[in-house]
Amino acid sequence: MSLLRAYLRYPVIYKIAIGFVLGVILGAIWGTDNCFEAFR
Amino acid sequence: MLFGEPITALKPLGDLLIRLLQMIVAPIVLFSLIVGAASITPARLSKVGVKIIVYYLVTSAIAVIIGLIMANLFRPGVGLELAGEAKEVVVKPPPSPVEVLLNIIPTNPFAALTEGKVLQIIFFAIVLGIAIAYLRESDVERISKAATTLFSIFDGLTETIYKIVRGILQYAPIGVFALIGYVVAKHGPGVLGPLAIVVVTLYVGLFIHIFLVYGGVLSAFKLSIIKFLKGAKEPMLTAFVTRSSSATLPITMAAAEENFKIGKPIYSFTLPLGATVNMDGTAMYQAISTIFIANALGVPLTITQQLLIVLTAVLASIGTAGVPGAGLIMLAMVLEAVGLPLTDPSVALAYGMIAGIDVVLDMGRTMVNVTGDLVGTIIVAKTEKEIDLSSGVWGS
Repeated sequence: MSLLRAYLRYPVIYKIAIGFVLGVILGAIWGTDNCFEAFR
Repeated sequence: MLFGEPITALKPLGDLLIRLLQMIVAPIVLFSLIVGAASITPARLSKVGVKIIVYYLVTSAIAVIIGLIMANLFRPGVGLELAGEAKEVVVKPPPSPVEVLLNIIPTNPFAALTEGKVLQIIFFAIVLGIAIAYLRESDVERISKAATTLFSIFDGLTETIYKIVRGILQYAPIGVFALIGYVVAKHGPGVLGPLAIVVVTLYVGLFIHIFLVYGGVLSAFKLSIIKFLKGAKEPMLTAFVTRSSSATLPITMAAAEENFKIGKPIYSFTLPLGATVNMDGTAMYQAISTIFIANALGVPLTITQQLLIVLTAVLASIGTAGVPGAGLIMLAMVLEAVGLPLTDPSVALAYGMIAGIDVVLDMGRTMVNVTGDLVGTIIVAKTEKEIDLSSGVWGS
């Protein structure tokens, strides 16, 4: 519950930007055979 | 693949966001535009009101056109080929411009609502709003009371929808995360390059709008853009940082009074109206983002479809502003209007990409929105002789 409250406290637009960055990282790792390759 | 194929497992999280956004588009357009149009009461709509509304609509249309020119020059999204994601990208054959204009008028407003025909909903909502505005002024008490009640109901519905929008936006980060994760895993991090072109295209367009359009309007009224920028730098910076026209309003008003020496009767009416109605930067963003999404899908838009963008973005700007995340909801609306519905998986993916960089785009467009409000206020004040050109920034 407190985790949800902490999540709700921050402005949406920054959370979207963070979601975007995390999505890019996850996508880059997931889409390659070797996770180190993603960041080469 | 590190985790094998199941990146598709993420997709429902993104689809959830898209469905939520689609759910809200028709009601938000209908209710907020009814309230927007009904709020402009005919009695209050003096000469100043007419002047400022014409200015707001014309500059927004010019902003969209600049956006379209920029997007056609920079061609953001070309070569992304996200269309491979979908089995088919169905873009309806474009009707002729006359048909487009005639099609704005719904033969059945309820059918327009159920089918999600955005321009028809916009038209009906504005007509209904204007009718309510007139009836509220009626001499017959029964009618004015009924119209006021009706207005309150729509106002309540609008606020309720905004509440839902705020809730949906709280989910947006997760949805964007899933959509982007999916796109990058499928196409590699290279897909992000075109997003940088979107940012550059928008900022170049905004820069041109400030110097060419606002500069031109000001010099047509024998005022200097340099002096204007000197006086407007505080509200412009505040808008850039807060990304909210409403939050910047007190600073914009202070600049109108102290720096530009505008009479209170003018700016106290035009600036709050501008903060909700005038969105030049946002309108330009709609145009560029729509072209980006169309290019990303490999379906370049025809002139008629681009005309539809101008119409939808300008008309929609009357009611949807002031909502947090209004830009994103409006973009969903414009996409529907040009025949790129979010139900199409590839459109949804490209939309997710744009949503991810919204913070960067929002800063510039809000700054231009606020700048436009101030320029409009200044020229209306000048025509009404409610501005002191011997002091403030003008005198320096």
